[in-house]
Amino acid sequence: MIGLLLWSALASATTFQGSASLSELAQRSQAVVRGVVVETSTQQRGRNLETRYTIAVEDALAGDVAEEVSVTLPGGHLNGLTQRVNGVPLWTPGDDVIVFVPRPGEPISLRGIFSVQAEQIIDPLVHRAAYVPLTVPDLGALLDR
Amino acid sequence: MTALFLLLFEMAFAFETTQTATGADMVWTLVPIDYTVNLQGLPPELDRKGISTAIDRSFLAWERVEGADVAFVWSGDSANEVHWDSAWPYDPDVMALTSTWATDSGVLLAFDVAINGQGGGWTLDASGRDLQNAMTHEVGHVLGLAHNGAEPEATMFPTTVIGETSKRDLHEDDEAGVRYLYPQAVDGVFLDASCSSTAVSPSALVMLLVAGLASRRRRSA
Repeated sequence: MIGLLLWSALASATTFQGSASLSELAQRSQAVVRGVVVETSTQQRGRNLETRYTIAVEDALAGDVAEEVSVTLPGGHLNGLTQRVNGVPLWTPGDDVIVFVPRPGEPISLRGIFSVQAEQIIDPLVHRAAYVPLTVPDLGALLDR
Repeated sequence: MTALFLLLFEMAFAFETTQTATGADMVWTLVPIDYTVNLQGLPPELDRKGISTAIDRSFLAWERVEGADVAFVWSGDSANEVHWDSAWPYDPDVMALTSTWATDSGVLLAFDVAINGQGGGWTLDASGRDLQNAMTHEVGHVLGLAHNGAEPEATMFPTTVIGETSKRDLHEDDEAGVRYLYPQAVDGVFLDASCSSTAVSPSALVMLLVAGLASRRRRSA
């Protein structure tokens, strides 16, 4: 099973090479959480947009976090303009997501952001389930939950 | 009938498109698409001319697709930039990242391709991270294509390995994707609705132009 998950991690990339596995990514993270997007806020910096997502934590798959976490991702939608950064999702309130929360001061990993649909983890980098289907329980097992 | 045939034909391929927050496919409506290359910060050991040539060839690969109306032109003052990012803020194994800006109706206004200048190992052949291989993939994003996770041979497949050069040449899925987004007119008639021209919001244009100028000034400072 771990081999399959490593492959799916390798697959989730924007022209990635030799990517770390999800378990390695989890070790570098403060926590891995599943939750629901409750608020989004997009700001413009130069010509770039960035969106802050507030997520109500429903389940901590690894580590300990507060009831809400916030992550900021490049891209967004503001004043009739969308900036897409390929491989980065645009979430809306109500979306079911999994996030590898970075440690304080660390940037978020673009490989540690997923949507969840019917317990299936959807990789935003490939816009569909990973090649080898990865479920939330699979990920929990990988993280020694 | 012809349009229906084309629709069914394209549905047999696995290409994916990039969409706006409102769900519209992102498409350029003005061709040629201008671009510039900014190699500030490029390590001196790398061959500037060779790198510029590799980047130009990556654009050319998409122009050569038969049945697709795609053209690029180099312009020194373009807001659409391919640049070397020596202060890479993302995962070290992300080789490059493409941003595109579009109106709610999907009209693409600008792009930015950032190349990971911290990772090292870039080459102009199969001896390392082949730049043309990666850049051909990124130009697919510029055109509005997203990752194709279903076809490992496609240029738009999201991963690569050291020494790979096969993404320099487009797969039939990639070609089908660009034909879908940029259908060539037959007898003056477009066979696909995605090529209809759409008005661009003046406020969105102003926002982008102002921000683009600010960005340019920062870079040249």
